[in-house]
Amino acid sequence: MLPLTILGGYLGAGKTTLINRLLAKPPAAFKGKRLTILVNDFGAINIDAALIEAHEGETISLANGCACCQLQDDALNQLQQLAQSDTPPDHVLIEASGAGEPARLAYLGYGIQGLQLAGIYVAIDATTLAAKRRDKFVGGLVHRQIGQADYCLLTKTDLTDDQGASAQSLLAGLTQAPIAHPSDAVLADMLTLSAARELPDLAPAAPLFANALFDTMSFTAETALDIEKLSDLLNELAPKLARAKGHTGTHRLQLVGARYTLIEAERRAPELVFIAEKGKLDLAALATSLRAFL
Amino acid sequence: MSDITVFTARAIHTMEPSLPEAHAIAVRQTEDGQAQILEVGTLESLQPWLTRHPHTIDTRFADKVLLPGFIDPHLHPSMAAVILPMQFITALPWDLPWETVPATKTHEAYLERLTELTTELTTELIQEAASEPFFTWGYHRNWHGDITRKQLDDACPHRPVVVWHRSFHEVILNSAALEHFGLNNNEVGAHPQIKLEDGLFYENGLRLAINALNPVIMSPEKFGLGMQRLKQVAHFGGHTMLGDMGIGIFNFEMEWQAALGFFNTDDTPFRVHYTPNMLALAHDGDYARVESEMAAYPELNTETLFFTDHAKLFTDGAFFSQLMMVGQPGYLDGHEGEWMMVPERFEEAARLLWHKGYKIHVHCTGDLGLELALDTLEKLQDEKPRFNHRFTIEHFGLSTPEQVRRMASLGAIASVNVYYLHELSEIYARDGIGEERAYSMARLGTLKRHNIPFALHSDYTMAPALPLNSAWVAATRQNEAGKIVGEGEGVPVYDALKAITIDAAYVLGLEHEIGSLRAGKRADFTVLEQDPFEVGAQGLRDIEIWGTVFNGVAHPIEKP
Repeated sequence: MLPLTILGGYLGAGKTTLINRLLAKPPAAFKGKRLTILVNDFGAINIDAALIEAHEGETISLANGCACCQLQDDALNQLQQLAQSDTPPDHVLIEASGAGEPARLAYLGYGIQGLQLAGIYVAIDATTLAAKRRDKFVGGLVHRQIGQADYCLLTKTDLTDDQGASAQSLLAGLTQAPIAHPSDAVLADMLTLSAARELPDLAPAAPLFANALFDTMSFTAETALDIEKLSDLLNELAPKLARAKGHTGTHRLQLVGARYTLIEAERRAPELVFIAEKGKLDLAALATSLRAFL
Repeated sequence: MSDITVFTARAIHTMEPSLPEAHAIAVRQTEDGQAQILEVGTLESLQPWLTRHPHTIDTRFADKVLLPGFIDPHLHPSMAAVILPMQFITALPWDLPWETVPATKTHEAYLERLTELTTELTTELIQEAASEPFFTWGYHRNWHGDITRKQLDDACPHRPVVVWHRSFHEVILNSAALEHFGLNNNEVGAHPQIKLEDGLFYENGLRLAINALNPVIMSPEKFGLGMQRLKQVAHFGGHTMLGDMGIGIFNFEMEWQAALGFFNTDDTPFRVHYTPNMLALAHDGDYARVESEMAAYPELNTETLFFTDHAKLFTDGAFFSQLMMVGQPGYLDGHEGEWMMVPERFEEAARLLWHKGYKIHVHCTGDLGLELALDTLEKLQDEKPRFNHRFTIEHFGLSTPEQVRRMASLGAIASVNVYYLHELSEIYARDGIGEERAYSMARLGTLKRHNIPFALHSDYTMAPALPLNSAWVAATRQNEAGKIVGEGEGVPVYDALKAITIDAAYVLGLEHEIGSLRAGKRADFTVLEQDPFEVGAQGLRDIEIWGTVFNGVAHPIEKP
């Protein structure tokens, strides 16, 4: 599986600076491995000429094994080629457009065999966060980007009067995701596939499915579910479910588009949500079946 | 010096207030091959020319009505060329040169029509053999309900069927098509924005489908058929001038070569003005590089296909997909639209173009998109005041009266897709933004009250490329449900006709040579069987078009 990290954040949040840092000096833990970065603005990439091995069109290859390419309109094809290449890199990082929602790239990557989401990182400029989130044009977009982050990278804190403290507390009120300064250790973590990440929820889309209505069922219990019985049931029901997520007591469940993952996690009380198109599945009967697996 | 031809007509509406109506028009070829109007008037008033020079009097239009050749200042030939080879099955009727597409308004009627079309290949223009994929465009959930793979399989079990949504943002395939295009596999099935079971591909999932469909829809045969059809469509609507508002949307070189191949020919009865799509051309965000390329485009000009000094930018998303940015209080369901260019990038590109003297056209669909365009224009006016700059708001879906007033003070003008009001006002009243704002789409009345010049356009195929139909919507404000909505935003017939002639020319910066009939302008006319001022607002869309006179030469519309 080729791990895919997505780096998002609004324009000017410092994404390109982080990428330049990664290319010039990959984290020590990544030594000997090959990283490919797909960037939005190839022109802004600034690498010491001594490190460059080859520069062809919109691709730069570095002596340290890393490469950087311009992200094309057809990102899907580019990712597909990387994932299915005979000599795939060890990790791919893709820069999301500052104008876009990083989660959409996660969804794009989801359809590609051999690619696994390592996480969505969103860079946030500490000097402008307070103003941007209230901006009449992009306030909504900035909130959506932050909401999709697995990890928030607070940048430019050295340019604030309080080392980013007020921006950090503001940000903490907007997201459950960990907030960190982009230290070398954090950059190393960006290139680590610790556990499969969940697909984030997208912001409500334009009403493509104006008539589609969904049934939802929440399930909670005191004791853990039998994971084998649950798997058998999911194998059967997955095509009828639109979405399911949560904790089984022993595993984290993630189900989207007929595919699901169960990943072992810390033990806790089960809490699951199931969503199906109206009339497609009897969710009350599903709840009864689940009770029998406790 | 070549001979003079005098066309006589029942009425000639010049769109020039100094001589609004005439009955004869004298035309002569200039040395560089252009047909020029010598004078407009009557056979008597033209005598000073006719007594001096040899001439012929052409009375074939004696019972017809002449207007300046119609101008559509905003459509996309290359996008249209992708859609036009497809069979239209649409909720509203579409009048195409090769067929009149009936309204198909319900789920049952849709499937019935599809069955009929895929099994009996009676239309001679569907040239594909029965095993070839069948593409259809125009499906819309608000009318046709959910169409699924299963239903398509029942309607058409063997032939691959690809149903393309009206907005172009989703496709539905039957099982035969999934097999044919290699899309029937687990990898595709796992994608969260594909419902393989239903054959539905949308958003990012759609891109996966387009990858597979591209070799067919962009093949020289299909695309070429589309270009030929667009040529027919343009003539059928009575156009003598088109504006390609955004060349580069797919691939500049491919589009320009297609234009040279299909439009730079003697049988093309119209010219095309090209405006580069800066957003698409600057895929790497390097506006300065694109601007320097754009500056050289006029070197490519031919007699009939040409660039001047216009550039296209974007603020917010597509109106047909409810992706326009809507100001407070927003959408009924709380979703948000999308920025095509975020404020910083839009301002950067606009500033570059403004300081270099370009005429900037900005795609703005929602009122928040318009707000960004106007905020930016105000900054640029402060930096470098310009007059006669033709900063044009393209589409002009939603707006507030205060914004229109601001447009007036900043010198912005508008090119409007008024058909939004016809097709979408009822749906958007119910399922988008509520009645008050939905019914005030395309505020032409307010534009007129502020003396802001405006054109009407089709953004084809977002609206039919029928200028008289657009003028009818502008003058009647009648929507597809038959209701008259937002009457205060309607305009008189005269203003509606200005918007498809002289003011459309103004938007393209071509008002000195086309758009009205007077001495010195090009001899481009649209020839009508009925008089728009006699039939009135309600009758505009039913006026029959005889054809056009392009560059002094008559081009009748071939009736099927």
